[in-house]
Amino acid sequence: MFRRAIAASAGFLVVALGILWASTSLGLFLLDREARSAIENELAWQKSLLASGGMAAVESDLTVDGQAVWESDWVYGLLDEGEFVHAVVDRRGELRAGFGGLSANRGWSYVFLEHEINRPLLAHRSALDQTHDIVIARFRVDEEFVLRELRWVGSAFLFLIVLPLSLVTGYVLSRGVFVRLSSISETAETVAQGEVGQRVPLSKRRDEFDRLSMAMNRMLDRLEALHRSIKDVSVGIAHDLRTPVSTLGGRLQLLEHDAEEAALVRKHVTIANENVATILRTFDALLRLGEVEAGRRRAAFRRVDLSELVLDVCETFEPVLADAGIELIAHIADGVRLRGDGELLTQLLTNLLDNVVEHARGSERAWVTLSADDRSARLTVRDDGVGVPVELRGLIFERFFRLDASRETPGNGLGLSLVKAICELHDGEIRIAPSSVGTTLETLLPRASG
Amino acid sequence: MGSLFPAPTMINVLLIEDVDETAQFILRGLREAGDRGTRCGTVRDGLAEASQHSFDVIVFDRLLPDMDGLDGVRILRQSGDKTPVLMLTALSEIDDRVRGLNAGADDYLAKPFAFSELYARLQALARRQPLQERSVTLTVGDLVLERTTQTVTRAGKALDLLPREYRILEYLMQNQGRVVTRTMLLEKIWGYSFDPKTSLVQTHVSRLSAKVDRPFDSELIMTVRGSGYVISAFR
Repeated sequence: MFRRAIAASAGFLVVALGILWASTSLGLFLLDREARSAIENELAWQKSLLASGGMAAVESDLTVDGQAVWESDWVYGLLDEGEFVHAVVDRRGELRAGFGGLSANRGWSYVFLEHEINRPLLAHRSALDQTHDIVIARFRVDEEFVLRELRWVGSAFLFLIVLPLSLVTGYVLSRGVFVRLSSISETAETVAQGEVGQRVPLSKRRDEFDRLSMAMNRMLDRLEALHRSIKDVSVGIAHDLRTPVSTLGGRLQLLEHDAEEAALVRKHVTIANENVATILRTFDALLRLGEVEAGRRRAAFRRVDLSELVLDVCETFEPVLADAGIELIAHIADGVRLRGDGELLTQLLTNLLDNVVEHARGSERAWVTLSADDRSARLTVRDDGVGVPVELRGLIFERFFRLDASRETPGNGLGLSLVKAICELHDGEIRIAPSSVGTTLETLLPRASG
Repeated sequence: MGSLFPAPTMINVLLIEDVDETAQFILRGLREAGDRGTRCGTVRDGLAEASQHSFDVIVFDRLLPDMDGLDGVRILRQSGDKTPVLMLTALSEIDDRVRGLNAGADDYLAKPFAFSELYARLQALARRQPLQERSVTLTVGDLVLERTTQTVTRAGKALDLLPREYRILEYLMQNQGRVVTRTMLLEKIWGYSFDPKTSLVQTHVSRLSAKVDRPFDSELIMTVRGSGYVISAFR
């Protein structure tokens, strides 16, 4: 992490320096070239003067105020204008015209004048004719100095200020990222160790890291729920299948014992088969519960006439309840329709009525009521039996929860879990309503729009 | 296998199943019931066998080594073979049944199953009549069911049945002499693919029996313990 920040800073520095030096060098190069070509042009001019009018013409060109040889003060005037400083000398080095303080070697060179002015000049000396040389020089311009200054100041700035600043910023930023990321990875690690309740802490900033953290937390919620349901299932399976399986084992031992007596053998086998059927029913119920909870059935939703459905199930269960000594009273509103899975809704009501038959001890009557308003349908199943103790009411929808702790009655404790799962699949809810007598289970299902 | 109700005529079954234990289990049961069973281990062999001989019913396993059983059934139907097909599967998702039926199977049974369940369904499939041949009147002993008017009489006396009771009776009479299981009734009469804990079917069949048998001197509807119900004029 920090290596990256340092590498980035170093890279940036190198690039910035490179740009600075390249651009200043280019500028200096252009200025220099311009100066050289100006001097070359001037040389060409002087040579043409020589060709047309001889040395006299050259002298005359260089004469200022009647003088061919310049005064020292005149040089000041040449600074600003980028004018040329000339010097024409003979073989002996004697000045013929121009400024005496200018001297240079043949070819291009940088020189200083013998003068107070401290600025360097670009000079070129070449032969003018057989006996004379001419030196043409020009002061180096301000821009050159500016560029050079810029180059050094810029480099110093980059090294002394920008580099440390970018290192510090890089460090701070990456530390920030590092801290945020490690908080997320720590949580993931903790969860991986088994503490599925951990969540990533959120800062108040609501930035990308918080969004990532929130997404992770949602994922962890789901993981925890799945984990819990697997645990529940394992625990439930352990309890609720152990009994019929061990009963089955016992039955087979009896079978072994009574193997000679055909009538007993038949009896044992029949009961053993019933045990197996119970176990299979529990597995099927678990599978269906899993399927419903996974939400896959939602894709097959269509319009369901709930009134018809409820009526049909009531007609089916009326004799069953009657045989158990319970009178079924139904109040079903007409034309209640919603979007859903008809088969699952049938199973929902069937399970609720199964529940009344199996567990409502002491009931004489049961009521099924279907009513609706614009927004939802309300299906209530009520009995006047013993009821559920208040402290257990929250638990009845848990998997494998059985009111009857001895587990003598048939059933696997999954019926109401499935009812709840089916409700939730339809975006509805179920609750056990407070009632002084018996049990009232109230289901609310949102209606289709139209 | 002792709780099988003896069926009137022999059926010839083609079994396409790769798991040996399951195949042996089914073949032995068929043999003891007096029926014939032929076994193939792959879809390819099964289809070849079906094209060369005619069978009363084909039992098709869903998970076979060379191909998905569903595709096998599709190929069978595409070749014009209309033999009734029962699919066996270890998969038990709700949608699988629909998928099986859509592929051309006529019935679908999840493993594990009781042999009596399988047998009752095979008998029902083997004897099923196409729609045009269905008789307008069903008769069992002195019990007469008129499909056109949906009336039922026994010994000349009209019986007052609820719609569901009528449908149960009709189904039993269509399969007279053969066992109809509880699960078959749940699927056919109620359309339930789940198993309600309460003895739903038993309650309704008892009510039906009370109307059809009790006022008269002979019992036509019988319960076969461990299997289901059967209606027959003979014991």
